Amino acid sequence: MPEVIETEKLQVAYGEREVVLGIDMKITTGKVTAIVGPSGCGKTTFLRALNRLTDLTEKCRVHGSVKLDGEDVFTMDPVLLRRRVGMVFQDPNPFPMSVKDNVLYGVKAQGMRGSRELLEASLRKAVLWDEVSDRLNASALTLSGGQQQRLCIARCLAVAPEVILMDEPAGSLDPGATSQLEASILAMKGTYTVVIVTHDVQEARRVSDYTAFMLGGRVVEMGPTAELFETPANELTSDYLAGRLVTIAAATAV
Amino acid sequence: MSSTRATALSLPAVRRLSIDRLLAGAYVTTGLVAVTAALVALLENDAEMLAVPLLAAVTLVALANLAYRWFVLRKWDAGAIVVASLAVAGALILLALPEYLYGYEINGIIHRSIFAAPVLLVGGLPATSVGVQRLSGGTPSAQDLSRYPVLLVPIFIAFGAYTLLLVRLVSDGVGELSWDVLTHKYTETLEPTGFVYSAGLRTHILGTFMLIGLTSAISIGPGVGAGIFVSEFRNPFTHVVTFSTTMLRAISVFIIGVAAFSLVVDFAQDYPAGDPISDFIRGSYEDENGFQHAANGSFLTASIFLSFLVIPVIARATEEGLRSVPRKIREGSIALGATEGHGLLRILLPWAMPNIITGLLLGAAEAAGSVAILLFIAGTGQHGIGPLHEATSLSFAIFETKYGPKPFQDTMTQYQFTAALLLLIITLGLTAVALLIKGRFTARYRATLAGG
Repeated sequence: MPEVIETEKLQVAYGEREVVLGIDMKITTGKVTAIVGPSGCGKTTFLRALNRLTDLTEKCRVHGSVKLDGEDVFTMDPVLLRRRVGMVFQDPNPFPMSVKDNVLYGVKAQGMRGSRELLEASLRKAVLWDEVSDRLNASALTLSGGQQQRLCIARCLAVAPEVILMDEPAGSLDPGATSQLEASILAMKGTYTVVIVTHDVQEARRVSDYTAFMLGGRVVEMGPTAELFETPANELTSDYLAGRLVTIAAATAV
Repeated sequence: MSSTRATALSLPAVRRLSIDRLLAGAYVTTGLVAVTAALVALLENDAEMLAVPLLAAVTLVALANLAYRWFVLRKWDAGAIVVASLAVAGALILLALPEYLYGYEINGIIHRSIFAAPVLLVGGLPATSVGVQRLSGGTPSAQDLSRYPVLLVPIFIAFGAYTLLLVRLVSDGVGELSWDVLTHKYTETLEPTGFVYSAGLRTHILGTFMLIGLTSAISIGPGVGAGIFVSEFRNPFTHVVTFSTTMLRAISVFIIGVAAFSLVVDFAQDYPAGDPISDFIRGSYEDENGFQHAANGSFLTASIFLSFLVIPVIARATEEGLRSVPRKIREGSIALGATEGHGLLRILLPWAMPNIITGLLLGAAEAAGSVAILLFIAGTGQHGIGPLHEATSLSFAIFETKYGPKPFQDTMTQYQFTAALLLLIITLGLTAVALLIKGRFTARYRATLAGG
């Protein structure tokens, strides 16, 4: 099976604080990969290293390699990398402009003209078209939180990235908005590769094909979602998935 | 629940004894009357006659409180001692000094009673404060309430001072305001009988707008550029720029004026009138016989040096605006594969626009009001208006009515308040326009983001 992203011994540290301690991970093309783990396990930092958003943080050091279709991302132009690897953040962060301008922002940033077809297609893929088709020129800030988050997904899809990174995209949404968000993630399967970070294991189970469990900056276990949830090989994994407390002290023993 | 009980414990003492409440009421009444009198004293010259009787009343109320608490309640009343001593001290100051205070009457702007006002405040506020606290029963929120009068002091003082200045400015300025003085320029003409001078503010008004316009146009680019540089680019030069802009603010404006004169205008003196170098720097005018003369400094030169003051203001405002862009918005743009330049133009600068506009407004007001820079290069405004004409402005005209050439002083002194009033109107107009634009930008680009 082809891998679109492959990391090798990936380490990230903020100053003296090492957050990601060496991760080897292969992310399968066209599938949804979920990364679960308790707060502070380094999953968000790992995700941000994949499209080099870690560059924006001062004193952030990254070691190891990340390959996108076999190409080292750390020698690429970061702007080109981010056009191929998009990202959706935990808090909805629409730009203070109209719905339409939000969706076409990335396209225009690449110097292309955004078409009406692209606008509609992107909003449809994000399962938002029906709700906003009559107010494309309204400010994006008038949408609800859930709609804003799906708008951010549409905005990301409009650039046609190969990979979409999602950092706890349902983190600030209510259950109803979350299920709509999940619907839009499921709609992406096959066309896009999605890496989704979440601390909600049930969400991972619902949307993902592969799940990785992270603890203390390392991957404890990774495998097809059904397998991982039903027959976890590691005791820590089964504890975490069952909702029991797992500590980082336990992880260092792995 | 517990607060109700605390009130219940402390209140009966007051409620049962109506004399105590009466005395507290007297505190509040005399205190408030004294504070009101202080405000009146700021505006009315003879109101200080009220001060001593009012302070005496406050003292009497305090002494009555002291006596009642000591002889009836068997309690020591420190508050009354403080109130009484402040009032007595204030009254003594006012009684001892009046003849010396006449000396502070400069041009009639500073009133004698301006000394009575603070004394009345110092005497009246503690009385009000103590009274309010006694009346409301000494609970924690009552204590809070009793401090409000003290908080109001600076507000009253500022309010009083502004009112005084504005009333004075408007009342004295409006009197000489006429269509004639607005539409004519100040002129000196040589008649067979000698020089004839005629008053007018036209060049000064237009000159103020010219300085505002030219200075804004010159400053906005470098100012915003420096702000972007400091906020968005991290390298050793960032500190150099920050340091330089701070230094520019720290230099006395007067020094910049001297520099303008000696560096540039002096240099241009080697070139005759009519030479482009002289015209651009010194400005020029034609006399009634058609001869070209060099002026002291052109509007362009004045604006360039004024922009030394304005650029740091705009730079600082831009920097603050850019820094206030939420991190998640910046990251959102970058994560979409937008270059930093694109994000800057489409998101960051629109977001910072309200700050930039405020900075520009402050700068424009600076340009309109600055005298020190014009000191050596501006003129009386008799030579017309244009970028290469002799610089002048309303603020400079006000300065010249006191320190300018004798004929100008004699002709224009009566219009000094009119000029000040016009300057005030221009500045208020600028503020209003800036607030309007700012409001539109804020509504459009900074509406609250849902979800944090």
